[in-house]
Amino acid sequence: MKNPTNLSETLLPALLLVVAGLVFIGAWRLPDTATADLVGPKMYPGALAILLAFLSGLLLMGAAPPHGGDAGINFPGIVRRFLPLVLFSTLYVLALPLLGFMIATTALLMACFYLLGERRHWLNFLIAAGCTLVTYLLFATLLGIQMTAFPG
Amino acid sequence: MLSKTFRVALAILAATTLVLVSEQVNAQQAYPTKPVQLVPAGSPGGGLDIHARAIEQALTVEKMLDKPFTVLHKGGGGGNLLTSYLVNQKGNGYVIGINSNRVLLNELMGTIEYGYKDLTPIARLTTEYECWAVRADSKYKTALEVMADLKKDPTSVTFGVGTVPSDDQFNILLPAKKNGVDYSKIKIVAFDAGGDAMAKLLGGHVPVLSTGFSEAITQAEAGKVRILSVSSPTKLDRVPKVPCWKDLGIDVAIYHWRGIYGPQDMPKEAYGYWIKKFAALVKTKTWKGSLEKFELFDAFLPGEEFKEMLAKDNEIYRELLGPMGMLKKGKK
Amino acid sequence: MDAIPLLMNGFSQALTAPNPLSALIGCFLGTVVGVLPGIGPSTTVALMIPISFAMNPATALIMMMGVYCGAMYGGAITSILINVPGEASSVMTAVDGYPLAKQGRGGVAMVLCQVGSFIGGTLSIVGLMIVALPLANLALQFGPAENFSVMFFALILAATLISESMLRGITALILGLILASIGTDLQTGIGRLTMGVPELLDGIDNVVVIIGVFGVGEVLWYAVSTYGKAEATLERIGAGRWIPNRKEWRAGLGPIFRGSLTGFLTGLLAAGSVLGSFLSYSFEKRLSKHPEQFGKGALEGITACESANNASTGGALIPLLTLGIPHSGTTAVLLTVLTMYGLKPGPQMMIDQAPLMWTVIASLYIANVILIVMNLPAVGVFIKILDVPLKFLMPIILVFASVGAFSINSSLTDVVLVLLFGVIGFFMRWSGFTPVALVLGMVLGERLEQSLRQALMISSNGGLIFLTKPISLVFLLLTAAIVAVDLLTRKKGRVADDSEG
Repeated sequence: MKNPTNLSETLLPALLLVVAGLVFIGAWRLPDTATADLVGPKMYPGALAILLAFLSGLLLMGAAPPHGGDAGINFPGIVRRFLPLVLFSTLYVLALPLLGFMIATTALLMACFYLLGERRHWLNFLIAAGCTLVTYLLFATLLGIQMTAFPG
Repeated sequence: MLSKTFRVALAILAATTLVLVSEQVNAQQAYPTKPVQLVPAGSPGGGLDIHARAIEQALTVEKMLDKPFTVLHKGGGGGNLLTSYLVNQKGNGYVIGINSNRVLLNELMGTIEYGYKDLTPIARLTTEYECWAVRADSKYKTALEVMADLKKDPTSVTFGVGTVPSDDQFNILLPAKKNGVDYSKIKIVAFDAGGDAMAKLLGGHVPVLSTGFSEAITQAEAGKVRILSVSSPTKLDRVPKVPCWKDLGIDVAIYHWRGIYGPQDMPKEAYGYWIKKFAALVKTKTWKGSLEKFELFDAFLPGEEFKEMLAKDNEIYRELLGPMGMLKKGKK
Repeated sequence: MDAIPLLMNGFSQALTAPNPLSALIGCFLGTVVGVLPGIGPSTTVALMIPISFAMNPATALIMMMGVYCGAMYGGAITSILINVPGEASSVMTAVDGYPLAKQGRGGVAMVLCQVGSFIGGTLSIVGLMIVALPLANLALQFGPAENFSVMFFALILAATLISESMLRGITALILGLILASIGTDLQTGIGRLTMGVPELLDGIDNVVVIIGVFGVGEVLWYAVSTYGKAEATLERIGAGRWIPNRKEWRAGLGPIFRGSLTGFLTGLLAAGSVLGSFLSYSFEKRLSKHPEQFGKGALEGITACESANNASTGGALIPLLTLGIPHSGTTAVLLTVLTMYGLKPGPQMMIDQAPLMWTVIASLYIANVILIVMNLPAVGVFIKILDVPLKFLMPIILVFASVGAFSINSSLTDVVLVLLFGVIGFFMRWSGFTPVALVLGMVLGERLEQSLRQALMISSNGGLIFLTKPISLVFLLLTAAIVAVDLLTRKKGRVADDSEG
């Protein structure tokens, strides 16, 4: 498990094989139309799904030359950096409607700064709050995007 | 001492009750007491957004706006985002939405489980009319010639439309059906929005276009296309020579209408208020000016009548789309 | 032609107060919109409609033209600086621009892009004035069969964008095509592959996929790849110089002129700015003596792409101004605005409304001048972003990407999607897949499928329609020629690939 290179060769093709299956089922379940459009809504995504399944099958069997992975990517990095970032982002999306843009965004930024190695909380807070404010001014004030700044 | 405290408490209680009661009375006397959300089921710049802006503008200019509107766009999902938004606002008198017959079509086709019965139809406001157009050099001089070809072989004429399902499409299906054509076999090609379809007609890629009258009229006035028929119940003033379907002996009129919907169970006073307000709106000069600019026609139908029309159209669409396999399973 | 006096009259109108001010405001707003990911020029112009009620038509249209041009200029900036293309048409700018920034040449790239934008934008207006009518008629010749063949041609040509394994590239391309088929099917109105999410009935916005795969993907990549490296905590890209040297000018100028021509012509077609930027990039890579540098920081790539997407503005206005027919997007909103002022847009507009229309054309020249004057010094300011330590910059990119995605439809679903595509982008990169291929499939996919089906419905002889229509046949033959040339020179290419590692 120390060397994730093998996984990097097979993980995505395996996932794509699953995606291809789901797309095929999704396309298959579409209703049959009796209009003059003979190709219909099913055939195109269905054909692409078969093609995708075929190609990812080839990749799984090692038909493409190995790309060698990337030295910078290792399992501890994925566990300690990738997963937390995905978790923070998920919490952010959940928190946006509850806490409003200002609080949620400042919190997200502070958490990310901390994760990426800056331990001075006061500095993190200043930068996070400043960036949040600037982003809000740009999008909400200048471009008129309706965003809830604070709860309530 | 005790009695004094008691008396103070009683006084406070009485005062509170009075305030609450008076507020309630106030609310009954003057709906609306706060801004009302006006929600077009389209993005900024689209037809439904223009309706929202025109309503807001006319009410403001004519000084008929009791509380300001906040316009919120719920574009997307083919109008479904507005419908589900209104369904979630059940009983709220401070949200009204603008949408077209997609409320009916989306439920029939199964892209959403809610339909017009889950909303309060407040008023049909405007309509556009559809038309058949051919290139100026086309062999077709009248719509009946096209119809004759269709009768011989429904696949012999290809029509261009903006989207499917739409009134562009119904403007082909309904007249064809009345004429006994096997309408599900007619070749109807959807292009991106009206402008693209017009380009395909002008380029000679499709022989006949079924499109909004406003899309075709400037091209017709420039001599590029010929309008064969209009879908209005009587001839249109701007093209007095072009027959409507009834003139051609086909008993069909197609309205590309837009209407106002509220949430289900909205308070009676809000419902009544808006029917009255829109009835007054459609008589104003500002509103009529906007209609003229956008080639729209007044098609005001208040609450109950609007609802009856929806019920009737719903059945027409169901009968029309069923044989084409476009209905959601179980909706046949 | 008495175009010159009309144009002069247009200039004098456009330069009468308050019109220059409105041009300036429009250009500034447009640049901001271009720089910020997500919200695009068409939405911005639409949001200006209520404000424009209070202005006279010329003033409002001039401001909107400023927004339209400005957005194209601005798109290059975030692509280069933070790998977040604001619009679909600047994807290829990010592909080479961001590596250039990492090499300390971000400023050079930005300057050349602004110059390319100016030349492309200006040349396309000249083209708009001189050859509008014949080109409008040419545009009408493009029916479904022709459109399909062009899309097919672009897809095959762009296969050269796939730098590493061809098999992986094609897989990513197919995935992009599948993503493009999500949503309501145009021909039948049936929702496809929406998984019950109503927002997906409109399909996934291209920009959401692009911001996710590029922007968020890069953030995740940075975070993981720097894990456990002590020196990473201080790392920053660094601004570097921003004045191009003579060699860089020479590298950039040829592609600018070729890109302008490609962009102007593709602008005539719907989805023109995206098509133009992909096509001109592919042309440059094929013409180049060092194609292996493309994707790793080739100035030719970004200047071709930026001049093409700016040149598409002039091309896209031709059908609107001469025929009264808009493509979707910004020109469609402009049509609404014209209607709102009671101008009756149509084939007669250039005649009935000649003074106004020439004012608009003059304002396009003015907008381009304002933009280059405004943006060149701005490069010196923007470049400072690269001095921000990456541990701060990367999370900020994450926020920008999320808010940008939200701004498109004010929908949290888009924020979820942008993060999801970030994860996909990360895994694609880890597994050696080219994100560009995915994006290419995504942006061309919908038109590819629909034009194929439209053509087959219209055709009376099935698939033969693609061979019997002359324009379609030409593009198919070109495609075949490219494939043949590639097969013949394949061996040579493979050696080059191998030597690179």
